[in-house]
Amino acid sequence: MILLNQLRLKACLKNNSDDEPPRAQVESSSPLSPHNRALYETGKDMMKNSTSTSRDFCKFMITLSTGAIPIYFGLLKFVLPEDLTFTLNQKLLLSISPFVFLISELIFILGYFPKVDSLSLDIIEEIMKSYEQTLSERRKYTNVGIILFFFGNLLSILAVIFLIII
Amino acid sequence: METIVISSYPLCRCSHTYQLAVTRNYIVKMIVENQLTPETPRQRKYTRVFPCPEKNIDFQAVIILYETSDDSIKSVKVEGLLEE
Repeated sequence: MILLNQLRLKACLKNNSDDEPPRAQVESSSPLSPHNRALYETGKDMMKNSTSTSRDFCKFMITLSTGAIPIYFGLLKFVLPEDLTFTLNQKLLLSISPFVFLISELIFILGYFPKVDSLSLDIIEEIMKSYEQTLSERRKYTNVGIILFFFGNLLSILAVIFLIII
Repeated sequence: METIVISSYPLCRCSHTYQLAVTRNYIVKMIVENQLTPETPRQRKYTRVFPCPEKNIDFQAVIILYETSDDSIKSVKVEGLLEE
């Protein structure tokens, strides 16, 4: 389909001498304006740093997810009365969110895991493919991880509120 | 692939031909009797950054591409310099 379109386009380009307008024209060319130069540099930086930024984020979230578990238990100890004994159901309820934090941590570890890939710098398509694949995989892990982390937080808050009310 | 010739660069004053990757949405239409007159193509302007091989500096150029309802433009990327 794409090939057909390209062929059609080439045919159009060849036949545009008389009745069809030219496909591409230059209206003006000038040195990059300061604003556009800044935007261009920003885009370059964003493209260069996007893989390391998402990896750093995964690293940060591993620490945060791990730290959330002792904070949660510390908060429970602080909020609930010391002589309170839990039933089995209450214990199960209280242990859901640490498990969710653990799962989110595992997801972030998968996102942080170094990707082994071989690519040739001569082949732009190969670099592009690898770059996009890495980004999309890491995006998937960070999205799932962050959803689980928020879910764990929400569960913790709800569990504490529930136990206080009871 | 569409090509564009920038005849006079702002600094090097040379002519360079670039390859553009233009993605278009093609629509296949059935021509009916009262629509035999061809549609006038619309102009669309894009500002893109082009690297100058002589001075090794990037420049911006406003390019005009044409589209009709059959082949509307989705995106325009500068692929690079076309070897002449």
